[in-house]
Amino acid sequence: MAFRIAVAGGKGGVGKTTVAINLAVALAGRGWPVLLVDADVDNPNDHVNLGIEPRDISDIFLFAPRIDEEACAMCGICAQNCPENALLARPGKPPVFFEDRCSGCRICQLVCPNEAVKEGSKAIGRLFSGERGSLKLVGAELRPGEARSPLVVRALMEHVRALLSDERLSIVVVDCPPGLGNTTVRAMMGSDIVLLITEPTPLGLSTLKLSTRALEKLGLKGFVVVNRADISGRGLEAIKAFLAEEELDLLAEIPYDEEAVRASVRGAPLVEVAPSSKAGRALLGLADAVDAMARSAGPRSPKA
Amino acid sequence: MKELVVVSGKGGVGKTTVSASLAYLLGQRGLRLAVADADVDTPSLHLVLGLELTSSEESFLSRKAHIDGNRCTGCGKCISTCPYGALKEGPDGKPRLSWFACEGCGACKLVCPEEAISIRSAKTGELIIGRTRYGQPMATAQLEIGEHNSGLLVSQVRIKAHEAAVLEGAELVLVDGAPGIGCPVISSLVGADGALVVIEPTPESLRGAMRVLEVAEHFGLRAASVLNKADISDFGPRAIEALEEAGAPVLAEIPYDRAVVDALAEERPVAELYPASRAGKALLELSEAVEAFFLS
Repeated sequence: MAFRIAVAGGKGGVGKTTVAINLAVALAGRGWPVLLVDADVDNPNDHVNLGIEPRDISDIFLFAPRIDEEACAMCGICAQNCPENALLARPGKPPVFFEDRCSGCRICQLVCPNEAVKEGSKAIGRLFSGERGSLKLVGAELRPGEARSPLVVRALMEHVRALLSDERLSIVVVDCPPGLGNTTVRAMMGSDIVLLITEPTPLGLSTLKLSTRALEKLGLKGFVVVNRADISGRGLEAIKAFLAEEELDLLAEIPYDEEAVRASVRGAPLVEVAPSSKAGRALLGLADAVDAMARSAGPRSPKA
Repeated sequence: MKELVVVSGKGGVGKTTVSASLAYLLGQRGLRLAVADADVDTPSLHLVLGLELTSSEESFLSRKAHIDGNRCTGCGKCISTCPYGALKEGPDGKPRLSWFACEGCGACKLVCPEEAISIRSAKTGELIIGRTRYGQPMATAQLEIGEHNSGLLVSQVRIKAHEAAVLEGAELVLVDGAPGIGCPVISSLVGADGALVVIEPTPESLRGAMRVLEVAEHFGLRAASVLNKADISDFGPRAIEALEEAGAPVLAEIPYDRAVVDALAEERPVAELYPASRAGKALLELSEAVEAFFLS
């Protein structure tokens, strides 16, 4: 079993991707076979920040009905039962299908008395992969205009499960989407630890509180990383007070560092291009802490 | 009445900072507006604008399967039928529901020969109505953790903001959107008039902006953009060029400014607290450009 780390945090733009890619690169640099999973399917960016040109693996399809007009008795039963109102019955004619509304549940196929609902599909996103030394990246991207990010994450996590069963990957780092809805929960489930990234502002604290509640509900173990930790002394104190109250561990404080912005613009991980920068050192310290956790998880280590 | 949605694709680039200062500045100039927070996963606009609660209600828009263990014979038909993989066989051979995977479609109920499955409503979130400390009507919501249907909740938030706007004769509904391009974002853009895309000068923020612009265009919205933290890198000019080309002219450039963080720490719009700061001045310029671009 690989040691799985989810990098989450609820609020957008707090540095999830920065932490995830630098952690993955630092751990790969220490000899761990690392799988980085870009689960921010609305806006996947890990490959951009790693300077990787990803390859397409496949499209992600959802079932969509294809009405066989010869077989259709125009009874309207499919339309009556469709929970998304994606089918509209018409007297004396086959139903009209609204692809945008369809959730792929197949109820139309189940209820049709004439087997007139055939297999069709629509692509809602795509799976992609890339490599960078001993680091392997897989990710998925939602097709713009499609709403079903959770099902894209579902397909991605199924792909990850398959990869883990036949490749010797010891550490999995999942870069989660922002928010705390279904998409994020699907990306976090099954993790050994969750790194909750936050920033020292009231917005960061408010979201950290929500994230903490989410982890309790899901039974996941969380550790906190404060990014841009030095932009507000008052904000940092407020976060520390909350952590003390909740008995949550602060794993790293990453200072604001323009080197980090430059690295992101260059598409190169900070721990490689500026390891001795303020933020670079903090990220390497975080990698040390996670490395130790992965080792103490025992039989998961690569040589076992 | 116009509806303007502040979006970004990538999170954390400054949607809430921009939305809060726009609401404050437009209000100061006498424009009547209602505000809505469509980031129902992690709402935060109320923290900056202040919210005096008028009412709140639980929203039950979700559906989940419920299995009656006494009736269930463990035939497994529901497990093989569930299109979302939400049912797994438990140790007793009977199905166990994975709450977060269930979309409540009812396929399991249809195939159950024992009528052991019912579809029940489930809480989607909390819908909250009130007024900002500047007197503007405001609608916001908090999605339940792990819930689907954020889009339905966003629709309700927008309906509530529109109702309030109509009652007060408002000219504008200003919506602070969610990050991403998925369900809650689509739901905030459908039927709205304009999209203001906030970006910061990084390639990933530009990519996010391009993706959300594609969605906005799909729904026929008029788009413009604003470059936030404009001076943190030298990527700005490239981003501006790409945005102009994509039909979303840059209305203002807001410099990186400590005043933004300081105002946030005070839970106030930066335009109110530090109007003379560099960011404060740029936001004033933005508010004038927004009025000219979207409201004239």
